[in-house]
Parts: sequence; structure tokens; C-alpha cells
Amino acid sequence: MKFAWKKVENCFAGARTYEYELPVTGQEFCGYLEGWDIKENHRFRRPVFSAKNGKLEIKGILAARVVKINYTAENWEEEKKETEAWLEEL
Amino acid sequence: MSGYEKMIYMNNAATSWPKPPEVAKAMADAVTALPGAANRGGIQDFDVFDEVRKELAWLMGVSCPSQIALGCNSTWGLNQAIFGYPLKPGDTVLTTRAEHNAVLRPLYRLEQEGIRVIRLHVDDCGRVCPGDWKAALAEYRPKLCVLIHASNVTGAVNDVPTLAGAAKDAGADFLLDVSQTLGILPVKAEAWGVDMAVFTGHKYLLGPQGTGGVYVRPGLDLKPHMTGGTGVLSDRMEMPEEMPLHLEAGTGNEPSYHGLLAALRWSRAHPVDQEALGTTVKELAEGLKKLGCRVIEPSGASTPVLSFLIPGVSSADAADILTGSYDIICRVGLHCAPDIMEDIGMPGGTIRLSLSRFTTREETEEVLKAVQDIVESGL
Repeated sequence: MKFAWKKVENCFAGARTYEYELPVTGQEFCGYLEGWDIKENHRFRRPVFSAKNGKLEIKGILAARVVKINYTAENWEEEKKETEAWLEEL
Repeated sequence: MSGYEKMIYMNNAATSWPKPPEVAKAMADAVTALPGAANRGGIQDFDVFDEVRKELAWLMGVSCPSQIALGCNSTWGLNQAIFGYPLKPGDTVLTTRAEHNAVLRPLYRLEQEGIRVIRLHVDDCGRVCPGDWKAALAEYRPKLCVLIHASNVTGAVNDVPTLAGAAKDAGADFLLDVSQTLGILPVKAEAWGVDMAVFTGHKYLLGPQGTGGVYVRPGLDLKPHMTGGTGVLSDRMEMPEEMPLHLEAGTGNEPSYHGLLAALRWSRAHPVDQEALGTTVKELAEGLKKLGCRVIEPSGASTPVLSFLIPGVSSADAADILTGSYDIICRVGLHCAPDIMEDIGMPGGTIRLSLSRFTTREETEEVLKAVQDIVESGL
């Protein structure tokens, strides 16, 4: 899967949040996440999702092509590299 | 504004939006017109910087417009003031934990160079207690005091006449950061005994980004933090001594200052309805509290800023939903003022809604509906 990424302006301490623009919507993206703990919330005007696999969590709007990841691991740069390699393979 | 009408913009404490239409027109006209400095400023030429100075002097309550140096933002002004002020190792600067990083970081650098910096605690609304301030003045005998007029996190306005007066009585100079107040609340720099006042054009002055500066009282000599060309006295190695050239190195941002001038004139003709704005903020705060939110609601004077938390919901998630699902632009986190968070009891940061004179009741009702959805969503 091709994607573009950008670090998000974020005023929290130690924030390492990145946005990824995907070629598919969040809804379609969730279809790739077999085995992940996926939660959808349709309470909102534009429904959202979160998908969790271990410590890695991906969030976004179901109808949008942008997802957000906050890297929380101590070796977060490695975590980011691995996540992006995995995304490319999708 | 086309394409943005659906957005509910509540991030005015960062950058105000919308701007009066005159701002964009003035900027466009300035870009297409001959540059003002093309003929080196003859008596018949329109000098946008001088016109801006006159408007700002009126707004800031200072009698000498030429004491206002214009640069690119508050950070520029604060760096000029803090690094230009005559301090030496062993001197003390008194400031507060409510300050923005535009103050905290320059002061941190001074601290590395041997200046003692005292950061006073603020109350749980983000306001300095005058008693604590006076006690600190007596105990630490600072040479310089640096204070934010109103917290960019909570909106709480400090009692500047009292605090600046106490600083004067203690023999200290007083630097006031009016980034959050100029244009929406009265500022009376001379009457309050303010020695330096730093402002930005892109917040409540309704101007564009890339404008801001510092007022320096006559007789206070700052060492220029930046040096360079001034268009006059070019044969000298030092910056000219007279203000404002003393602090204004390099070519100014002329198109943006045309925009700021248009904004200042528009604002003078259209004063803020303080009562209506205060009521809107109060209703929003009440609505948030009814939904179970924890709201910082300063008593007394405040800017139209509300910081809050939704119990049990991550602030980052809440802000993402407000923006992504409801087109409500707000800000979340530490708001570049990390030290205040512990004092107001929200160490992880806040969700901040900052309103403006253009905010409507319909918009605040939409915000409350969105927050209600978040509260009821089971996130």
C-alpha cells in the first residue's frame, strides 16, 4: 500500500504522532487488519475507528483516508520503521 | 472564506480567524503596489510601519509610537526584550509558571548563562497572586520581571496595575506579554508602569501572521538582539541608537503590516462587544460543566479562552473527534505553556476552546452537542 506521512503538530509532552494518508478509507483499511482489536464508534457525525495490535494503535475516521498513529514504544523510531514497512507490504 | 464556512473555529488564542475582509485586500494591494521602501521613504510616501505604530500606540496606551519596534511576532519581541535587557550573571529575573515557551525558553537560556530565574506558582486558574508576587519581589530583589497579561491556557487576566506597580516599588523593570490581550482587552502600558510590552498581530488584533513586536519605554536601552541593515546610517558598524531603528534590522514584512493596519483600523471602527462575548463564553462553560466536564473558569477578568477535560476520555482523542467528526477547530495539549499545567491541576494538558468576537451562539451550541456525543459515546 502506498502512503504519505507527516508528523502532526501536537503539544503533548513526548508526543510522537504521525498521520498517514492511505489510498483507501479507514473502513476499507480495517479490512486489512486481520486479528487486530478493531472498534468502531458510530455515535459521531463522522464515525471513527480504532485498531489495536499489542501496543500499536491506529485511529481514524471510517470514511476518511487519513489515519493517525502515536508511537509509544521506547524504541519508537524502530516501531515506526517496522510499521511503515508493514504498511508498504499491505 | 470560501470552503471554510462549515468549520467552527475555536483556536483564536493561537491565530484568530476569520479576519476582516479588509485585511486580505490590503495585503493583496501591497504585494502588487510599488514597495514602500523603493524610494527610501520621503515625506510624501505612505509609511505603513509608522501608521501601524500610531495605531498600536493608541491601543497600548503609550504616547511615543517610535518606541514600538516592529518585527515578525511576539517571540521576536520577547527575544529582543529578554536578551537585549542589561542583565549580568548573578542578576535575578522574576517570572511565573504561567508563561509561554516564548518566555520560558529565552529565560532558560539566560539561566544557563548565570542569571537566576524565579518561576512563581500561579493559582488553579492560572493567575498570579499579588501577595505571592510582592513576597517574591521582597525576597529575590529581581532586576527584571516578566509576566503574561492573560494566560493562553486559561484566559485568566493578571492584575497588571498592581503587579507592575509592586515591581516598580521594588526597583525592577517590568516586561508584559500582551499577546493574548491586545485587541480584546484594554492595555495601558504607560499608566500601568510597564517598561516593555510585547505583542503579536495575528491573534486578537486580527492581523496576519508575521507581525508583532515590542514597546520599550523611553530611556530604557536594549542591546539589539539582531543587527543588520536599516537603510540609514549605513556607514556605521553599530545599529542606529534611535528607536525604532535600534531594534529593526532588515527589511520589514510590508504586505503583512498593510494587513495589520487594515485590521487595526477595522477594529477601532468595530469595538468588541465585551458583554456579549463574555456571556457566550460563560454559557459555553456552563454547558460543558453540565456535561460533566472539568472546566477551568477563572473568576474576574478573562479572555475568551476555556480549558477543559472530559473525564475518562483522552484529550487527544476528544480533540481528534471534535475536529475530524465535527469540523470544530480547537487545540489540545500543553499549549506551549508546560509549567502552568501542574498549577491548574491538569498536568497532562487540556482541550482549549478559544473564541473570538465572531463566535456565534449557534457555534457554541454545536460544540456542546459534539462534546455531549463524546461524553455519551463510551470512548
